[in-house]
Amino acid sequence: MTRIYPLPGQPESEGEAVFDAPWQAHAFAMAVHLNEQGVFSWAEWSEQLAGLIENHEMHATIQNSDDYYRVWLEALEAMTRNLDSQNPE
Amino acid sequence: MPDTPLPHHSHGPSDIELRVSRLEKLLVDKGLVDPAAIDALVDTYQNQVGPRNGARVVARAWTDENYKKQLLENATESIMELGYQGRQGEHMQVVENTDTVHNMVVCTLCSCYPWPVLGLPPTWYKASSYRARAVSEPRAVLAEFGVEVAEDVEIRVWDSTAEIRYLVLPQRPAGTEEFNEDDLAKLVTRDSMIGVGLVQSPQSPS
Repeated sequence: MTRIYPLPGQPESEGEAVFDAPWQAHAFAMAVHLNEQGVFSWAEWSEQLAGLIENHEMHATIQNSDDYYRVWLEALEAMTRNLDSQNPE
Repeated sequence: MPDTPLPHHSHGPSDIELRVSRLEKLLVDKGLVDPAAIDALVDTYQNQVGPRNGARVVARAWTDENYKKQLLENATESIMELGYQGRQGEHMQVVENTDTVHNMVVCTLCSCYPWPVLGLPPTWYKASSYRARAVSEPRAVLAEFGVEVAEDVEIRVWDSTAEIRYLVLPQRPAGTEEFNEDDLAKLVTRDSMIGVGLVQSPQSPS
């Protein structure tokens, strides 16, 4: 089977771990939890995440879970920074 | 990052781990995050929600013509009827593979995916290469997944968004006429419900 360039982890990935590291799981869960608490809507979250992915992909690629959750964390930091400016400590 | 990078300690937590734990502590202190809820969410998505749910939906559609019709017309409610609902499954659409149409799903902008029926997406679904190439050269991508689609079969690529998420209803394989719903569900793979796999005929009926 020739591959033009590899799609990471496929197609043998059915049994792959959902998260590579606990920090990824926590970053994931915090975003979901804040959305559940009504801190931001999922549409707002997706827009933020998509924007940062677009920025990231201007100079790099997302190839693995680490790359992806680093951008996810950036989005989470950005969303909660906005929160700080609305409610200064 | 505005902060001066911390010196690297080979045995201590990495910078990224520190960033996450600092942020979590800050949000807990503000009363915005409940650590128990974080643990529960991690457990749910790590251990409880996954493509077996979607496989049940597919197997039901294969064995119940009325359910299938309803599923194609109103996926969100039909899926909820089987008990699968929640985040990222609010607005679902099911697209059916036939002898003339092969469907595949991508999220070009980020990683929208029907969590209640498939769990969290695999890494390749989130990767730049899949997100770009699924649209620009779907046939080549499918070939890399081992799926050869005949030239006269139309390939439809569905781009998921925060508003709508797609699930592929794969074709029921030959040789499964005697199979019940449970047996059929065991044959259905995650990749077949994203449209980058086909459900294979069983070697021998169990």
